[in-house]
Amino acid sequence: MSLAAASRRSIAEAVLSIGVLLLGIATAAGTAMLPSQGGYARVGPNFMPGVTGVGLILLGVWLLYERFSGGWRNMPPQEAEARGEHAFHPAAFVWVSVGLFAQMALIQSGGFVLAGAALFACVARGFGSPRFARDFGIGVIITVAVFAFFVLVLTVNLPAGWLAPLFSLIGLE
Amino acid sequence: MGETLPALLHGFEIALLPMNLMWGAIGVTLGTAVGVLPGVGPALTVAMLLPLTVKLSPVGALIMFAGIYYGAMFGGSTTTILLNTPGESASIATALEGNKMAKNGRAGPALATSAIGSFVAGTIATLLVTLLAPLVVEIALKFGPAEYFALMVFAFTTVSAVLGASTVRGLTSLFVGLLLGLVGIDGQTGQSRFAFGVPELLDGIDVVVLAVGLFAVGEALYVGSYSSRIPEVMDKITGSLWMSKSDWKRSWPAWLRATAIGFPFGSIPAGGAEIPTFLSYAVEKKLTKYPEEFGHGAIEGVAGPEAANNASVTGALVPLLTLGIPTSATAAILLAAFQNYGIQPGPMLFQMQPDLVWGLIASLYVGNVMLLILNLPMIGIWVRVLTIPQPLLYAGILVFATLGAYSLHQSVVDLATLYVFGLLGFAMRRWDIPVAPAVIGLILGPLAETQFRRALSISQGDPSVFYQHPISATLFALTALLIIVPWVVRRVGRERAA
Amino acid sequence: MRSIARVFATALSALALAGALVAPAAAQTLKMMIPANPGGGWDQTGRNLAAAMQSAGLVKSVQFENKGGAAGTIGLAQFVNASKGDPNVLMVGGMVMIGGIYLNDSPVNLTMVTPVARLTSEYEVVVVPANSPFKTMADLVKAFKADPGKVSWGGGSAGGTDHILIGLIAKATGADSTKINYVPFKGGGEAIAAIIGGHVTAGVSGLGEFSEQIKGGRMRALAISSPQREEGIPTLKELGIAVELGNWRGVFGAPGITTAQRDVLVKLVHDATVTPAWKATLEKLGWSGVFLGGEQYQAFLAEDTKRIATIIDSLGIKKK
Repeated sequence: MSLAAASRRSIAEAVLSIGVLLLGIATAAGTAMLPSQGGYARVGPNFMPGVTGVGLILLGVWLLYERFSGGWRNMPPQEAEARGEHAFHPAAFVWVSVGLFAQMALIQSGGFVLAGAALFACVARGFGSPRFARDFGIGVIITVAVFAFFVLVLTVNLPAGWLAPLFSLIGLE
Repeated sequence: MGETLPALLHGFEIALLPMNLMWGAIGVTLGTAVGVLPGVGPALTVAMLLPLTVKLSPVGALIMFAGIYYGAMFGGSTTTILLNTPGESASIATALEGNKMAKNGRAGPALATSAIGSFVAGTIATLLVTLLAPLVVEIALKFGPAEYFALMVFAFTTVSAVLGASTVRGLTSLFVGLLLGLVGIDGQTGQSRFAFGVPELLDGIDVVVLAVGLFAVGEALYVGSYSSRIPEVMDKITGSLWMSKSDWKRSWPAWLRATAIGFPFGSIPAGGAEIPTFLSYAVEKKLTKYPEEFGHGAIEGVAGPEAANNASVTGALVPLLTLGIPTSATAAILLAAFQNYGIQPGPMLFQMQPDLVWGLIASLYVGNVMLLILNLPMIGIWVRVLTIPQPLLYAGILVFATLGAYSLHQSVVDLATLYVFGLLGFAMRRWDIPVAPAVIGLILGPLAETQFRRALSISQGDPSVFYQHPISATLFALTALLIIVPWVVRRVGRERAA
Repeated sequence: MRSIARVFATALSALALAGALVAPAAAQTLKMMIPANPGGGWDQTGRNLAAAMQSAGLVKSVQFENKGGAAGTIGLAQFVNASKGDPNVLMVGGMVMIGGIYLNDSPVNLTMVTPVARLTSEYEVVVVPANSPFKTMADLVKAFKADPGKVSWGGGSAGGTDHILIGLIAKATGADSTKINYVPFKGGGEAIAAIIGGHVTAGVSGLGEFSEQIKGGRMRALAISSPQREEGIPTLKELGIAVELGNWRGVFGAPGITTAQRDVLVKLVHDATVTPAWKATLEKLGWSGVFLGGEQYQAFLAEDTKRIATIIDSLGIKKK
């Protein structure tokens, strides 16, 4: 294992272990605010949250213990190559994320079709497709088909957004 | 017993209705497709299609969803054998010998033995479901809240602590799922928990959002970041598709043995189809007359695991239908599909929804025949599906995945939650934390809590119900054994090695 | 039979009311908000009502929006916020929503929308397992009063119709309603399995839910909450327990529509309820038609809201 990879791994393991621990503490704290009245069962709505919180705390401690005693057990190889993968490609991660955020931003105003096509094009870009405009076009075709299926077959409305005048023109609303 | 045959015949009347035949055909075709395609699994597919429940009759929808579930097991072998990338975790064992066979120019027989083996195992397993389910129903009626709780604890333990590379990581995933399951209104008291005053959260976190987030968004982020730039090499199907006489002779005992292993593993809540496939592989390796071929493309090593995973997914329908207990992520989402219709699977299902249950069971027989046709003569078409460029494939997956989540409440909140779960799924995949326990925890956690508090409510707070009822006591004892035995075995093994 | 007569009476009054105005024509397309997931009682109510409207050519098309959750209050919130003043929308709702609003301290409530019509009612039945030692309602009430904890009641969600009925019974018989050992179940047979299996002492639910088990002899029906006997089950009233409770469902118009606009909707809904399609629906689903339109419905709502709040308070389940 290269030194950089090893230190990345130990940082990640520490962060994740502490994350689990903090999640457990937050759960326990949230539990403390819940009422305990349980009627005849004698255990109320705070029992299971309590168990979950304590469980997460114990698991966080256990993960931390593994982290400081030689690292998490039975982990797949740290080097991407040994896993049959290539090194982390940040651009791909960013493009997929951008696509999802673009969809969230667009779906109410721009409508389902434009938002979905934007998502489609961004994800394809992230996976290495160089033809953004063509991908956007394919995305439009797919999402229009889905839109029509929802409106005509399922009678469930999806937001039409900016294309609404266009859709009503062809009888899709 | 005497009632089973007429019930089944009635089921066939329903399964063979043109509409239901069509849904079944769509289901198994989609199932094969998602089995073939890397990156989409049956759990994700059913989750994405859950919005369809608005329009479809429960019978049609569930026939389709079940078709996706077991169809994926048929399709999974294609990718595994030709690409050496298992489409499903249940196909990993198949990859060991299957891809070697393809490399030796024996892709045809490898595909044939997995398709026919899946058919044989699926059909025998369906027969077992037909015979066993009504018996299990009788037992299930004796299950009160204490027994259900014990059974759920058993299921939690097997899916998280016993399976997988690491007990602690499996349990972590389970507890994260349990925590997510707590969000929303507590069914026993109406108390809202961890909802932070957000009305969208009062109803809890939808399994579709979690499953789609973990499986689709997480997967896309991961594959994009780590393997989108690796060109895939597909082995060609050269030579005959047909199995030779010796292939048949070596395959059929493997199919039968694998069915015997796969079915019980599917039908006890012991999580997933992975274990029986590896078990079957190990058994075949041990019993074979050609040990020298293992590791270089032994046909038994394909026949066994492929039959085992089919027997096991079919077996999983027994606890799902009779007890309402899902034993895999896909089964958990099938349960959510039932719940969408306001139907809670359990012993009463056979009485209240005979059309649904028996139509569904009969559709399994029909579906297996359809799958044999889809996967043997039409294998060439599926191979072509594999040539869809990866960028377009994943872009399409995400469009449908987000659609599934968005159409739940038409709310951007769900899309944002989806992204958060996507990040979680990415991290879990990267750091080898299994995802399925979280999904099962989300679905089964609230049910387990409910049964636990119900049991105590009925006993007026006396915890002895859990060990005084014989069935629950037995289940708790089994759970304890499950934890202790592997630990002892490992200990002993280590001492011997030392 | 009497209920049908009553439907006609109310129907006539509604008709007169609507006819008094020169009603503008009903809209061609109607939007319908169903504040529940597909498949449940509200969804069936909304979709069957729409089908009845379309069967009689009262509207051309109906668009549905399902927005389930929190006893309908999530859908209600959206309806209140998004459809203000729109005369062509309806929302399905019912008694469960009133309970949900009160239990969850919902920021929106039914006074913010325009009551159009009450449509159906489903009555509640009290059952015990076939092999239960309790032969009559009096036996059950006696045991309940002697040791409330020992009698576990299985029913739907806490604070829902079933729970409310037990509260009303407790109150009417002088038992302590805060001491009810209520065990909530989800629908779809879960409660039935628990009752038949003898895991709870008694069960309460809509008659439709238990009807088949009662006929099959696996459950014994002790009493029903309807004004008259149904399927031969004695009413609570005739057993000396002064309780009547129907799980009603109805429709609401958007906030801020005019009285004239409301009356158009009342007439539209009323016309739909006299179609053969709607009557077939009632028959099939075992619902009673209890049409009540406009102002009368509004008055009924106000009264029922008060009654439910009181009873939920007495159950001691509302968080302080």
